[in-house]
Amino acid sequence: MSIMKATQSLQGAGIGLRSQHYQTIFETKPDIPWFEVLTDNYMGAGGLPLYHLEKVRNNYPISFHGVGLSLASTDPLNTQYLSKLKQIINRFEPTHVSDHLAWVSVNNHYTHELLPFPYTREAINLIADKINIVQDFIGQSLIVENPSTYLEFNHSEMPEWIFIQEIINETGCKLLIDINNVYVCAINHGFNPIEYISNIPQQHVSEIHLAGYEDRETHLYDTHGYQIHDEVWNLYEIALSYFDSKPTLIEWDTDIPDFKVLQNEARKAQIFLNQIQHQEQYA
Amino acid sequence: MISMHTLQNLFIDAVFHESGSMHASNQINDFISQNKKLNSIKQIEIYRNSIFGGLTAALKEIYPVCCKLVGDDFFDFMSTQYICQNKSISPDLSNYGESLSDFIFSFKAADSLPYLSDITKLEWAWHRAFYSADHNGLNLSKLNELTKAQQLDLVFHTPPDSTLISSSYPIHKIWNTNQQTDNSNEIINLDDGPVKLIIWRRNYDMHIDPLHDDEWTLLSEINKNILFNDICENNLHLKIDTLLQQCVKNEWISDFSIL
Repeated sequence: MSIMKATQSLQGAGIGLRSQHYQTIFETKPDIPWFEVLTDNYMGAGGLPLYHLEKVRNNYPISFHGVGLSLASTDPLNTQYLSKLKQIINRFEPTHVSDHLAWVSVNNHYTHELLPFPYTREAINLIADKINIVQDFIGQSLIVENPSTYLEFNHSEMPEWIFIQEIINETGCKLLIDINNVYVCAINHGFNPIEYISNIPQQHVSEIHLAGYEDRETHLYDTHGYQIHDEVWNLYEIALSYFDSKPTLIEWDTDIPDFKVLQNEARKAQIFLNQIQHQEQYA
Repeated sequence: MISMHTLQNLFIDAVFHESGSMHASNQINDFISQNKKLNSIKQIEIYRNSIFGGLTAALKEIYPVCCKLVGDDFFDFMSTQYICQNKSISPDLSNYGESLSDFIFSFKAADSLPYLSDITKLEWAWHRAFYSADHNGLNLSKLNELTKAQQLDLVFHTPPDSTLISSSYPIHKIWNTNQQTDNSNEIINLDDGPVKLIIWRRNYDMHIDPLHDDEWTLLSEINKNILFNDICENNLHLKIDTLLQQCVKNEWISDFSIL
């Protein structure tokens, strides 16, 4: 079935599409510039999920955000997953396709959790090879997201931001900078988040994520189940001063609230985006 | 320096092998940086809780009736045992949990609910049909156009990812009662079994239909992908014409092909 595609660009503050909000979205057609779709929820052969996604896609630009590529795994890429990914890319034509700098599987054992790895030359080679294969296969840039981690490996050879620079050098891929992840890692591992942000090549940043963490006293946990904290909003404002205006996504995965809560968070992000656009215009 | 592959294997061992993890935990600890607030065992535990929590949540989504019947705490306990013994081998999380009914069948702690294994079988069938490929139903005019020769090579198909389930218990009634949110105290008589069911989807409507013995026999034969002509010859005791009409009318046959 052919679908009428909405404008092919992502601008402003979008919201992560969740099934709990389908009804509100279809009934009220909210003024949201774009939705991010969790790719892995739409890998089935048919049924309601794909029907709903088609309805959303008829009215909004979308991005695809996945967790299944397992880019840092020492297993080869799962060709079945890759083929399915390409199939739904061709069907729904998302503006962005992203996944994570993490591994979720080894020896074909899938944890479905984004796991940490050491920042070494071996990891750069491994991940870069996979990103290049994926980009060739899907015929567009892959956008990779910086991780949220709760441990570091003592044989890492470089800080995360240098690792990301190396990945970009090897692949030309784009970046999704999750400001919450930067803040969570900065607190958990004791680095300066502004040093991180300032070392990210801004021309490669395609998208920004914002979410709420949970303070577990011994560490911050990337729950995606809370409103965005003031510290993250502050870091977002600083990040925009480095990156300029970038499409920004409000991400919420657990204890999903009323759609209005997400709309309010998106409006807040839009105010920051408007400010930076205004500054760009008059610079 | 340790290779990525060895490190990832140690990580998985430390996460999944609860009691036997000492060796793997000790080994991976050597590679984890010192942290002022958390030792490496606690750091690994964050990931363990996350992984088990995520997989348990996925199982709860697929098996809500099973969870309602045993309660959250028991379901969490059972899931943990299941996850330790059954790894996910697909990047698609919705493929995880198919063998839960087999696991429950031999899970001693669930012995007091003898129908639980069959309920989970029904819920998995529902889950599969929910995500199955869309279909347009049987094209009768195309079927009527078949030549005599083609009819000899005719094979019928049930709807994509539909499932036939037989149980000694009235699992469809148990399932149905547990869809209600008003904590209804409807009493199900377990002697209302045995039942034979087909679980399938047409458009976006899900169906759990009880089958008579003859309907079950015909649909089971059809699911073996054998020639309809052979089904007729092998089941002379069945009134195939009437049965076929009934199955087509109920949309339990959704397609055909010529071998």
